[in-house]
Amino acid sequence: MKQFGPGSNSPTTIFIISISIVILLIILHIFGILGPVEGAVVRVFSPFQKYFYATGSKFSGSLRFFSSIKNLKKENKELYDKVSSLTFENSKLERLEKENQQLRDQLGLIKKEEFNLVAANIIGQDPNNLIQFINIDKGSNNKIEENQPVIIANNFLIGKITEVTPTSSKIILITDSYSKINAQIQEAEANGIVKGEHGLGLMMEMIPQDKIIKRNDKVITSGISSDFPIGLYIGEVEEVNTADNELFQKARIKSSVDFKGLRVVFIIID
Amino acid sequence: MKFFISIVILIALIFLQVSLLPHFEILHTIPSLIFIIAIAWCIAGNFKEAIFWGVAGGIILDLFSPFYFGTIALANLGIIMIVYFIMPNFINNDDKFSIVAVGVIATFIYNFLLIFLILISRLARLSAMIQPLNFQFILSVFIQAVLNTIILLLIYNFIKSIQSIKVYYEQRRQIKA
Repeated sequence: MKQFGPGSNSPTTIFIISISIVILLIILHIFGILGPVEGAVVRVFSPFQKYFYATGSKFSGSLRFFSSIKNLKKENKELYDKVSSLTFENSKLERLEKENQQLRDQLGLIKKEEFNLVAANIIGQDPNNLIQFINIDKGSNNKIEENQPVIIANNFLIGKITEVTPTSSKIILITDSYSKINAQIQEAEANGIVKGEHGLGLMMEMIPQDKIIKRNDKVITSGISSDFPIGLYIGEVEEVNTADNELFQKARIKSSVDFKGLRVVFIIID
Repeated sequence: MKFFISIVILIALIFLQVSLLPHFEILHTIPSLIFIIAIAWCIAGNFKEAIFWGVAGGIILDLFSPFYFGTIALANLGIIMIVYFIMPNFINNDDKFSIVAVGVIATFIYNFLLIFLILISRLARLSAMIQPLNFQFILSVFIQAVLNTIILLLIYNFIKSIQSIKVYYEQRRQIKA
């Protein structure tokens, strides 16, 4: 049996040289000297990453499809019920929108502004899978800045920008434990804070005890903090935890977003 | 030539780690390929290769990670030192049990080193990121230890085969000379 352990080539010297190089690179990074090199590496890697990410997404999507076949009948029934209720809700909303437009016209109000969006491709995720986070192929060259909200179609909030280079950006997802969003349960008009649970789901905390919350109530951003505009969709209430001895209620939030299947995201730049 | 091949494999594995593997997570966890290869070289006794994989791989991974730049490279260096200098005092041979033990212990230490470095970068006001030390984290580290160890066994055997072939050709060259 061969022993493993210190041998030739003076490991201590190699270690000292290596740690010196790493510390030097960190110092250069702190002073921003390494920025252009980092940007160049990311730029060169980006098209390959995009290809790998898209391939992985396609394969995992197919795998998920095959594993979900057994639930298709049940899902189909649920979706059919949901379509019926949404069709009714939609007609009601159309009528309300018309009314709203008429009242706005009468009051001379300007039409609510649309978001100014930048579309970006996802090119990677956290290599350690500890943080729920994604890399995108757009950066400060496309007017992206830190703390800008990131959404997908239909104003579904998925995260916010945490780091920007000229050609890429890092996004922390709302499902990460680090993420905290000021939110509101629309039907109950109850404010609270939505926190991520290590990628396993979302939990809304600090909901006042006097608010009556029901399953499937919609959760949106409350607009209290400047990070997120009001009205971005977060999810629906899945379960409510009410304890008499607690000051606040908690609600488990179900997001309709398949975070693993995302390919393109939109950054609200204005 | 050997260095060029190593660089190409390293970059290919980084693409896999960052862009492909996250789609195939097992119980919300993926193995750390660069860490595993660095550890495998360590156990095989090639410190230079271990440092190359740990530092070069760590620096590139840092560009795509949510942590402050240098966190993964430093964690890799730390774990290589521990495995190379400290673990031989406790685990003295390269049988399967020892490799499994090294794989599991090293994964736990590596993740705690990461947490420690994240905390340091937060205290130094370099990053606002924080990784809570909760049950979910411990569970994901445990699952990652299992995944890493399985791949470590495969990669270690592969490295040993390469080393055996190298020794065989060197011996043949010496005999011919």
